[in-house]
Amino acid sequence: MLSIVENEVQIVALTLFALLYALKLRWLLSRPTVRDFAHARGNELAGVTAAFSIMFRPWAMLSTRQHWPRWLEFGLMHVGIGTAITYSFLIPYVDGILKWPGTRLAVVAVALGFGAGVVRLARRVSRADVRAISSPDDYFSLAVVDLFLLLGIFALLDLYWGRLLFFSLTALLLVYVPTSKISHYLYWPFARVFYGAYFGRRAVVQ
Amino acid sequence: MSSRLSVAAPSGVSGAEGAAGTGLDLARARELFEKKITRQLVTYFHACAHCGLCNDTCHYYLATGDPRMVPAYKADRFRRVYKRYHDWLGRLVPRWVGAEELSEAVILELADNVFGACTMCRRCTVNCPMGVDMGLLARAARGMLDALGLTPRGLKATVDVHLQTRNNMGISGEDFVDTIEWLEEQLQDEVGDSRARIPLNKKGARMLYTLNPREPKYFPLTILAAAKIMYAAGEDWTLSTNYWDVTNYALFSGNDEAARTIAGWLRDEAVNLGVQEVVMAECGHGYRAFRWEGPNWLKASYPFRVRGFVELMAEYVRDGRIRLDPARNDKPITYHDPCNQARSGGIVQEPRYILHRAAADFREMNPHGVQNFCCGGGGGMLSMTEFAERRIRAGKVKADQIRATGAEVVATSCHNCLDQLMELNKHYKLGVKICNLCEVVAEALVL
Ligand code: SF4
Ligand code: SF4
Repeated sequence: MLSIVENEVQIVALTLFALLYALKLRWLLSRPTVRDFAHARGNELAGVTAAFSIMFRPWAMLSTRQHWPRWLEFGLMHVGIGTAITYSFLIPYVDGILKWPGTRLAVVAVALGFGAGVVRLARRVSRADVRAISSPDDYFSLAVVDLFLLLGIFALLDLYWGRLLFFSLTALLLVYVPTSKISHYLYWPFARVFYGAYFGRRAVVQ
Repeated sequence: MSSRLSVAAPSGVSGAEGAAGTGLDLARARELFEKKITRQLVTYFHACAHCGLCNDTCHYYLATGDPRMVPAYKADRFRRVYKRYHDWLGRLVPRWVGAEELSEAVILELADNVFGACTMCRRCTVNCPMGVDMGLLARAARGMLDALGLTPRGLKATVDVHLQTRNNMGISGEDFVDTIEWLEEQLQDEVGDSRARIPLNKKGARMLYTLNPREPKYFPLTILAAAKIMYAAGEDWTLSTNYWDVTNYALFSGNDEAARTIAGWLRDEAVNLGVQEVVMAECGHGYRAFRWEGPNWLKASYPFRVRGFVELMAEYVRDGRIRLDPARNDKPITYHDPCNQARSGGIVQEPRYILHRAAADFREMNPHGVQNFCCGGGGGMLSMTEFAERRIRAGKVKADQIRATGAEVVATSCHNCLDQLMELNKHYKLGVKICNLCEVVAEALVL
């Protein structure tokens, strides 16, 4: 049972995931883009580079300077997610990975990510200004990712039911993610290029 | 905040009264909406994670504490329509993702939001980890609403007058020339040189200077200040009687066709006079509209350079073409960065370079530059009187910023900002003097 969930089910879900993303990308690329004819004052490339690196430089943006705990949460949660996703590929294919000492560190990363995710969910529920911009999808997406991280901890601790539930949820998430707000990360590189080129050209972002 | 987010026709939104409950062509609205969807827009529709990090970057939210004033909420008034037609879950289970069908109520609420609760200042944009461009979203929405006849009357009238008379205040050619001739005499008296000129229609001049219609109409002394500076620098410049207006309110109405026409007039006049450079008078949106957006509306780069007067003044100082005595401006002075010039145009260092040399006690607002708060007068807000109460209320953030500096003078480089700051000065009893940067420079000039 566990072997099927960790292998065949994942492959089917991944294929669907890739297909849905391809459709999303096709729609995006089918839309006309805007060409900038104004003489540059700054440098587009410098702007794009700055835009991509800003996420690693919390001091570079006033909002993250002022709300650095939020940046930390964001960082911890995304490192946790990245770790859990990486292990969803490693566990089925790398024998003994869960016995590897480095996995203990991975458990800590996923646990911290879970903690950060819970704080974020609590904020979404408790603050009126965040509730105002939250749809059911926003609540559900965050809750389900938190659950994914929680189950990730159990899976990395090599508990049988933990692995079974983790991989079952991973398969469901692979299909839900491209249709939900979680897919925002697919647009992140595009957003960074557009933002960086536009404001870099104007010497606003360098 | 009265009439906030009313789904009834916002009073003064042109055509809206007729539209409420009747008349609004939803099929056409949908068609217009689809035409607006560029790759950039799709990206910004999807990229928002609803994280709320931008919430307290918006002066409307800071001044009111109303959750419906946070940037993502306002963007969602537009985004929800996109989701209804182009998002899988939005089509299947609209409520799950907050998607909404285009309806009269949705359209009117959108109008109220993008015209009346967003100055397109982009402070949220530069503080968003995804870079969601609220300025771009708001302008696209305004463009759709404009085509539906839902632009607030005052804003629409400003664009219409511009298109009819080639300047946004309908100043006649005769009045314009009279004012310039009178100012030329004033200039000669001021500098004690009867050969000092304010040149008109000089073919082959190095530079064409433009004016905000508010200058000949209400603030002629800013023209005199600029002329004095150019006299001191020995500039080879000219004004044009054929086309001289720096403004382009179609940037605010979202009407690309009108924006293109207006930008085209100035481009053609610069080509006709054979100048090497067009210099935009101190006008934030006018600078942005012609310098940055004009070539895109016209789909061609200009065969000349475009700069803001602030940039040119900084160059004069740097090159030693004008000399300044800071002691002549001895009162504490601060500077308000116009959003369209700083955040959407990159002019941040130049005004500071000038003020450090033209004034004895220059004090920065906190924050300033690219992070400066909008004064509340952006986005054409001054022309939309139905939103005046909101505008003044949202301006409290700027008023508090000014007060905290302890400055007695506030300089800026934009006539819309100037007007809004004057109103804030009165309303919040700041007791400061508000002026354009060129007036500070003219005062410090050593001739
Ligand atoms: S616009 Fe940006 S900062 Fe604001 S909620 Fe969306 S992603 Fe977060
Ligand atoms: S562009 Fe400016 S006014 Fe509009 S939502 Fe963003 S911060 Fe507020």
